[in-house]
Amino acid sequence: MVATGRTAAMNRPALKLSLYFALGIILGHLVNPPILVLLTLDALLFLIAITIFLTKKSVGKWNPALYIVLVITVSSLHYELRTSDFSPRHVSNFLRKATSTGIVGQIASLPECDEERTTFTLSVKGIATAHEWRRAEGKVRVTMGERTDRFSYGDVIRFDARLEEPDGLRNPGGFDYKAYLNRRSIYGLIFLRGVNNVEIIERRGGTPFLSALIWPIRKSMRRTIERNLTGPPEALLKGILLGERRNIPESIEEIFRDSGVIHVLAVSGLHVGLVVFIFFNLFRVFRLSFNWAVVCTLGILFLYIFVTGSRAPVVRASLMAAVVLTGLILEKNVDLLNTLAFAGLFILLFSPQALFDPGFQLSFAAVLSIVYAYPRLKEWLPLFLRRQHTWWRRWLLGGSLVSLSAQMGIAPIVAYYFYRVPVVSVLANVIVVPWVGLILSLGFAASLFGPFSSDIGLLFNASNWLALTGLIHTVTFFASLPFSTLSVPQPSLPVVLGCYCVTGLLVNVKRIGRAGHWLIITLLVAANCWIWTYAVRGNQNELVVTFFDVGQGDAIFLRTPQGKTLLIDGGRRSRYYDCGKRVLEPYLRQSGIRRVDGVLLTHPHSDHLGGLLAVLENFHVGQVMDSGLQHGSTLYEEYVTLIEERGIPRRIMRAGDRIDEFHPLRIMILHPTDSFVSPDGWAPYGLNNGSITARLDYGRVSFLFLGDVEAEADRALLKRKGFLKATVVKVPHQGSITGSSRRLVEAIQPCVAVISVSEGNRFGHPADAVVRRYEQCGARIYRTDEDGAIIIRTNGERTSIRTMIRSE
Amino acid sequence: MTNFKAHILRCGRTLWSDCLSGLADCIFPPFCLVCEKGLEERDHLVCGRCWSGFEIIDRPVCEVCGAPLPKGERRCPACRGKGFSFSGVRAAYSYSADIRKIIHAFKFGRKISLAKRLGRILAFVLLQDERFRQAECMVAVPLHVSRQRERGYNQSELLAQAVCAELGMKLVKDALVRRKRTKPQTALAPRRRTRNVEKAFRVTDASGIVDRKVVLVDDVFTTGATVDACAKALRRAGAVDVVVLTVTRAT
Ligand SMILES: [Zn+2]
Ligand SMILES: [Zn+2]
Repeated sequence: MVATGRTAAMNRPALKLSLYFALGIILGHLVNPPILVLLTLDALLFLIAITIFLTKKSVGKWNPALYIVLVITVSSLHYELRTSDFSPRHVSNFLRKATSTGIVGQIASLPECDEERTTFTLSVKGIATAHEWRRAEGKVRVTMGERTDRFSYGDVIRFDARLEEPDGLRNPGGFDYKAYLNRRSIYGLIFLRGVNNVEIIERRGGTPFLSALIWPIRKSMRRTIERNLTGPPEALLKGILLGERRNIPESIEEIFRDSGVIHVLAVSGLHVGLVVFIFFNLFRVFRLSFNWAVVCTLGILFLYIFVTGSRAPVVRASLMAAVVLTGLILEKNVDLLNTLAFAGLFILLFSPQALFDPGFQLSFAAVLSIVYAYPRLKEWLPLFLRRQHTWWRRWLLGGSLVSLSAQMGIAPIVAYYFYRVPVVSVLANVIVVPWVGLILSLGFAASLFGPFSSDIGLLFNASNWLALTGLIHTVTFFASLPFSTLSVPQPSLPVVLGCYCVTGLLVNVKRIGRAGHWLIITLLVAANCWIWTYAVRGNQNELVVTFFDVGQGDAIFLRTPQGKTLLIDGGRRSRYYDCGKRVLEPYLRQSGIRRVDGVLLTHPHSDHLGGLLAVLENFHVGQVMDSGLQHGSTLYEEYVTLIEERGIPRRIMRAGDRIDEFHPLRIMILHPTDSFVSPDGWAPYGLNNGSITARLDYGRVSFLFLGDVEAEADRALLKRKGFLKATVVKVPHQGSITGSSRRLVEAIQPCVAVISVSEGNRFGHPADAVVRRYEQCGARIYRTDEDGAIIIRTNGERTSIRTMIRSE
Repeated sequence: MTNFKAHILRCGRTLWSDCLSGLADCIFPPFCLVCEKGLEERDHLVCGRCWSGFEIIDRPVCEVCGAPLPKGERRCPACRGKGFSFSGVRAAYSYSADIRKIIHAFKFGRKISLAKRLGRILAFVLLQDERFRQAECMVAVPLHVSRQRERGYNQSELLAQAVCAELGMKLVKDALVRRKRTKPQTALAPRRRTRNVEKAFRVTDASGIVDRKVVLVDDVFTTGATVDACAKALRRAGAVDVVVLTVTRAT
C-alpha cells in the first residue's frame, strides 16, 4: 500500500540520510574544505565506527551524532573528489591554450545533428604537447560545423583543435554555461569547422551495452520519427520521446515556457509512469504472472533510462517506480517520501554535482510537493467536491489539485532561475499532461511497430501528427492568455526558502493547530524584512553603470538613483548569437525591469544595434535617441520599423544637446557635429566617426561614452577639451589603434578605462599601444574579455567597481 | 589465533547481513499502513495497537442481516421484507476509514499476507455462532475470470482458505463462478447495486454443495446485494442453507 505520510513518528531513514548527504555536498560546495582534512577526518570517524561495531560498545547518545558527521563529511569528500580534485592528466589542465593541439579521444555519446552542426561528447585519451603525446582524461563537448553521420558512438578519433574553456557567468542574470557543463562532467569545448581533418583511428569501441543495445534502439526510434514527420511536429516528438531538444524552434520553446509546460519537452517522470503503465499491461495481456510482469517492466524501464540519456528526472521516477513495484511483490508498505529521498540519494551518490542542477531541483521539488502537499490540499476541498462519481469530474479535480501542488513546489525555483512565475500552468498542465500521454503512447507504438512495418508506423505517426499539431495550438492558446506568466525580479535565496516555509505551513493549517500561528508570524517577519530592505535600498542614491560582456560590440546599461533606466547600444545579433536575448533580456528580467526609459544608439553598426531590437520589441521603451545616421542593413530597417510600429518617440542627437530626463544626472552630447552627419543621414567620415559621444556627470563622478570614434572625430572632440576630462571612459572601438589618440587620452585623464572587447578576436583588439596610453595616464584598465561584465556603482562621491569574473 | 580469526569472520558476517537489512530498511522502512507510525517488526504491515483498535461487532445484531439492533428489539426494521436468500450474516469489524485501508491493501495492494490474520479473526467470529458452527463447507465469492487474471488472486478465496486452514473446514472451490464482469459496487449508488449483480453468479459444479449448509465468505458487506445474488445461486443449486461471513460490515 502506498502511504503519503502523516505522523512524525514514522521512521524515514532514506530521507534523513539524503538530507545529511545533501548537506555535506552543500558544505563542500560553499566551504571547499581541503581534501586532506576531510580524508583524515573520515578515516578517523570510520575507525571509531568500526571499533564501536567490533567491540559492541556504544557511546550512548553520541552514537547517532557520530554517524551523522560521518555521512556529512563523506559526502563532502565525495563532492570534492568529483568536482575539484583532478589528476594532472585531466583536460581541465589543458584549457586556455592559445594554439591548437593534437587531440585523441573516444566518442562517448550518440552524435546529435541539426541542419548544420553535429555535436557529441568526447572522452579525451591523449593530448599532443610540444614534443610528445601525453595521456589525458576527462570529457569535452565537440561541435562540428557540418551535418554528418560519419561518426558513431565508440569511435576513436584524432584531430587538431583548440581546447577551449566554456564561458562561465560573464553577465549578471546570464547563463553559466561552464557550471552547466561541469555538472555533466564536461570540462572543455572544441569547435571543428568540418569533418575533413578528423581521422578515425578505430571504429565502434565503447561499452557493448550502449553500442549494441541502447544506441540502436534510440537510433531506430529516431529514424521512425524522421521517416514520416517533419518540421515542428518532428522536433517536438523527438523532444517528448527522446529528450532531444536541439531541433525544437526557439519560438515553440518559448510558448511552452510561457504556459509552464516546458517539462513535457524533456523526458521526465511522466514518461516513466507511462512506460510502466503501457508495458506492465502489455505483459499482463500476454499472460505473464504479476511478478514476472513487474520484472519485465523493470527491465524495459532500465533500458529506457539509458535510451533517453539517464537524466535525473528519469532515474528518479524509475527508481520510485521500481521501489513501489518491488514493494508490491515483497508485500512491503511503501512510503513515497522515503522513496523519493532514496532516489535522490542514489542520484547524488553517482553525481553529487546534480544537486545544483535546476533540472534536478525542479524534478524533486515537483514530486516532493505532490507527495507532501497534495493529500493535505485535498482536505481543503469541501465534502461535496470530494465525493464525485463521474470519472471526468474526478479527473479534472484531482488533476488540477496535483498540478497546483506541483506548481506550488516549483514556483520559487522557477522564479530563482528563470525570473518568472507561471500562472496559467496550473490549468495548462491538466490538459497538456494527458495529451502528452497520448502522444507518447502513439510514439511508443510507432517505434515498436515502425521497424517491422512502415505502414503501421505511418499510421501511428500520422495520428501523432494530428495530436502534436493540436498540442502546439493548445499551448499557443495558453501562452497567449493575458498573465500566463508573471515576470518577477530574481528572489534572493532567503526569499526562496521563506516561500517554502510559508507553503509548508499553509498546507498544514488544517492538520496542525499551531501551523496557522506560525504562518502569521512568518508572514509578519517576511513583510518586515521586505519593508526594511526596501527602505535601505531606497536610500542608496546610487548610479549603477553596467558594461556588459557582449563579445565584440558595446552594451551599457545605466540605472539612475531615481530608478530610471538608460541603455546605450545593445551588442550584436547574428544567426547564433542575439545579444538582446542572451544578455540584455535576462539581465532586465532578473532585475525586474520592465521599462527602459531611454535607448541611446551611438551608431547603427550591427555590433551596437543588433541586441537593441529584442529590447525594443519586448520591453516598454520611453524614447530612442540616435544620431540620425542611416545604414543600409536589414537590422537598421528592422530598427526603424520597430520604432514606428511601437510608436516610440525618436530623438536625433547632435553635439551640444542635453538629456534632462535623468535628473540628477547631467547628460550632454559632445559629438557628432553637423559636419559628421549629412542632412540626408549619410556619414561623410564613416559611421564610426559619426558615433554619439555622451558625457554624464553625477556629483563629482563623470563618465565619457566614446562610441566607436576614430581619428577624425577625435580631432573634433579635442575642440571641446573642457568637457573631456572624466573619471570613467568607455574606450572607443574595442581599443583599436584607430581611436584613442594620445592627445585625447591625455585630455580625458581617466581613472578608469573600460574596454569592451571580445576574447581572442582576429583584429588583435585592443591594441597594446592604446592600453599603454591609458595606463600611462594612470587609468585602471577593465576589459570585458578578461573581467566579464563590469559594474560600476557611484553615489556621486565614491565609486566601487565589481567585475563578473574575479581577476586574480 | 583461530579464535580471533573466527571472531573477525563472525563480525564480518554480521556486518554484511546488517548492511543488507539496513539497505532493506532504508528502502522499505517498516511502518503501520493504518496509523503510519514506525514498526519494530520488519515483516508486519499493521501495528498491534491498530489491530486491537478496530471496532469489533459484539453488540446484539439482527439474526438475518447482521445489522446492529436498536435497543430492546429482536428483529431489525431494515431487512424486513427484503427477502434475502441467506439466513444470517456475521462480520468481524464494523466498517471504518481505518479498516478500509486494510481491506484496500489486501484487495488492491497485494498484501496477501494479511489473509492469515484476517482468517484467524473470521474463524473466531464463526465459532461464536451456532448456525455457523453447523455449516459443513465454505464457498468464497468469486471474481470474474478477467478480473482474477488481472489481480492474480481472489481476496475472498484467500480469506476462506485461511479460515478453513484454521478450522479444518472444507473449502469448495470452483463451485460458483461470476459470469458477468460487473462494475465495482463501490462506484454505484446503493439502489443500483442489486441490478448490477443480478444473475451475475452461477453454480457450475454443484457436487460439493448439494444438501449442505454453506458459509459464504466475502471481504465487505454493505448492502448485501452481492452475497445475496451468490446465496440465491447456491440455494438454487441445492444448498440447504447459506450464511455469510465477512470481515467488515457497514453499521
Ligand atoms: Zn498502527
Ligand atoms: Zn436485519
